[in-house]
Amino acid sequence: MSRMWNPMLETMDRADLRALQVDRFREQVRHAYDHSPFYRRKLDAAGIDPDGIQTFEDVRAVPTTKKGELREAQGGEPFPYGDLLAASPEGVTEYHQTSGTTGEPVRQADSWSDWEWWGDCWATVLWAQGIRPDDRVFFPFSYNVFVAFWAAHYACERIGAEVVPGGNLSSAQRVRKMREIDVTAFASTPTYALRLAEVAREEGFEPTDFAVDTVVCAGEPGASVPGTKARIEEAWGADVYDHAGATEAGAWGFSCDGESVGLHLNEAQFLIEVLDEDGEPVDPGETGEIVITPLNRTAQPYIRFELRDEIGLREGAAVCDCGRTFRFAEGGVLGRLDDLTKVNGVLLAPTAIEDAVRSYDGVSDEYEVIIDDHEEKPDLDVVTVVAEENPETDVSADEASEELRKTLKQTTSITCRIDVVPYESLERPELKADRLDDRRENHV
Amino acid sequence: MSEDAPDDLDELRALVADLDASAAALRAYGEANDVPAIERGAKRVQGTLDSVKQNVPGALVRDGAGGDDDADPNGESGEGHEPGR
Repeated sequence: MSRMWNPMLETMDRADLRALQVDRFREQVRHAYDHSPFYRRKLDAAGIDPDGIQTFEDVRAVPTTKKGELREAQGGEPFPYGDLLAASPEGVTEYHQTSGTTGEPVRQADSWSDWEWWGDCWATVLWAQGIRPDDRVFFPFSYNVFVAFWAAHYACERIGAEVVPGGNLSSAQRVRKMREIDVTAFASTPTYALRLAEVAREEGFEPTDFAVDTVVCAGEPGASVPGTKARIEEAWGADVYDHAGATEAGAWGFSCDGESVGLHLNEAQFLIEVLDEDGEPVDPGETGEIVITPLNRTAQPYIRFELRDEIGLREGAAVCDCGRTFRFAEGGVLGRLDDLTKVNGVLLAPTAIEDAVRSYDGVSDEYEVIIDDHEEKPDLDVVTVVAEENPETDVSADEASEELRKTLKQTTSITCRIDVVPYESLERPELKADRLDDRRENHV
Repeated sequence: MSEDAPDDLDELRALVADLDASAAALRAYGEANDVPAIERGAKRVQGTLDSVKQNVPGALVRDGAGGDDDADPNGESGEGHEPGR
């Protein structure tokens, strides 16, 4: 059986793939121009004739779309999507919205064909991660207006796997159900995968005794953070996979069962540009920001959307032994540009702290990071990492503090204060975790 | 009414049968060439088509409709079984 959902696309010759991308990009821009007043204004202002897009250079002449523009457009008519909408209101069959982490939520309209597309993109992810028709897949999340995992649910149906909806249950009820019916896979944020293992133990189970052999992670970069990935693998005795996506974009990246750590970019369904600060494409081996265009959206298209995710671009057969020709994000999403922050002049990525904490057995899974102004030296910032004691080791709080302080100094170049608190002192998030508390008053 | 619309039930049944044959051929291609996206997508089309057939008087429901037709839970071939007829 194929390791790929669609080997015709996933192993396509690079030149053919690039030609396909330009063709689909042109069609997508044409559709947006013809049906969305928002895009028509934007493209007219830039002097773009959709049919004139023939090369990647032409693609880069098309203006990017920022999240703020989406919010502004959705403030107008027709309610509730504004003139971003590129379909008749009757053509919209699915409503979702972003979580609003960086401001007002953006509403997402999808048509029936868009929703089929979402499912197919997610099927590409799940098939690459070993989900097959004989799997029983559990979704331990609250089914609501956020798109997270909805499309994965329908992708499992598409694959032919059995779907078990685990919404509106407590964590304890979820682990009991997983045990009772021998669930073979589940999908969650990395944070919640660790939390479920903790709850399973509280309920008297050993998670490694469950039938779970696959954990599909999304929503946070953890499954590409080596320390976090290793903890989830150990907790469940299962293979752990990463996925990257966004409400606006779709499921654009996935890890596979090959020998690599990072994300294949689904270039058959997305045109993914990786750009430097000047908007120029970076070379393989370099790091850049993603600007993304889903290539088959109808109701609410996104043309060159600034995703604000940063990745390390790789290309070529050496990046993974799976045979895909898609380009690759080594180490997954390195950070959201919105999450990166300067501390005493040094750029700090929250994932660097996550990896340091999760790679050290002397502390437990949960932690938080507080950045504050120095009490006496107003020009200085202070970073405090609060971590919990690990009840399964006999490492003292003092030893753990010292070890973490040294590791963080090495990996982030920042001297952190470490506060090791008793086990279960910190809150247990059930979806995405917001572990960074920036309390600085004058920081921009 | 659109010019493409069938004139009578016989024509409607024939359209459904054509769609069914196309979906089966797509599925066979996916299986033969190991392309799950085509094979599984076609199977999904067949599932949707089954619900259309259930709304067309006299349309034949495909053998094994509604389940995995690789396996016969009753241990029978299903030959000659025409539910909905």
